[in-house]
Amino acid sequence: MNDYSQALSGGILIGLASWILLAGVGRVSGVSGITAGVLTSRRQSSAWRWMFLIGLALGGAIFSWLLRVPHIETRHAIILVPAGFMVGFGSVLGSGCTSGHGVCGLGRRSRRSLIAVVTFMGAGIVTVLITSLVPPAKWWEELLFEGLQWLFQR
Amino acid sequence: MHTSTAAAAIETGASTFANRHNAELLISFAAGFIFAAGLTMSGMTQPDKVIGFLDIKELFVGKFPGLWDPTLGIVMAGAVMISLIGFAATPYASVRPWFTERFILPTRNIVDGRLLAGAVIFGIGWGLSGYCPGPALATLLTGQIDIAIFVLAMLPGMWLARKI
Repeated sequence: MNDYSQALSGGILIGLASWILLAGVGRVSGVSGITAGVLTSRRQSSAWRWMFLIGLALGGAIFSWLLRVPHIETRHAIILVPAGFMVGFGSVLGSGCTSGHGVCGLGRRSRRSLIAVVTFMGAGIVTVLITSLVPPAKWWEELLFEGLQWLFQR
Repeated sequence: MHTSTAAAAIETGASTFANRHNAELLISFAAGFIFAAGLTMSGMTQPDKVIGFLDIKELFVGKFPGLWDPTLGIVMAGAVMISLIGFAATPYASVRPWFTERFILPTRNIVDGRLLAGAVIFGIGWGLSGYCPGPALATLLTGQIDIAIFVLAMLPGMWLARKI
């Protein structure tokens, strides 16, 4: 199977999972909403959320091992910490992420979700455009090193 | 589609609640598991694929579509196609879900500052890292340190957004 048909079948599985949760539990499968629900509500009604998240984490580990998904460290922790915080804060503030607004919201033909998707895609595109123009960490290290050298040679 | 006979059989039993509750938990687990299978199979747990989709200047490298990676778009198209059918085919105004009392779906329809600000902040974090909440949690147990760092930063962010 090539990359594109794999992407399409993966997408179909994601859509199917969303429908299963809708038909079985009557809920929308938005990962940010489910995770925030687990963090903030202590009631027993959160049990289904825990089960969804356990399935997600366990499934992810099993399938990435079966499919031998390569792991490439793309970002330094200095970037990952603020990025992670922004992903968590922004997705809950905006009531949804790629799954809640993207898969379910667009599936429900929600205007609110369409606007959210266009907005976060736009923000993502602009961010990648800017960061791809910024030189990599190695370049900054060399710059700092040369600067210090120049300073101490005087 | 609706298992009315099975549901009726369970309802007449003594352990109605326990049976339905267990089924609810099992189907939630299955949904999460299948969701993860889809994310992993489609390549969405690999942040460079996400960044490759958002990096539109690659469209202009050589012949169209250049070095641009359309994977995320294909995944979304497949998922939305199924969820469009699913939501249209589920009569949630007239029936109950299989294992719970009622459908609990988002009802808000207003586009406000909260939605837009949240989407912008999320989009920036997504563009910086290549991770959104689903793929991040699906990668959590694979044992990489960088995703653990990401998730540990993401959880307080979610908590704070719920509190304000």
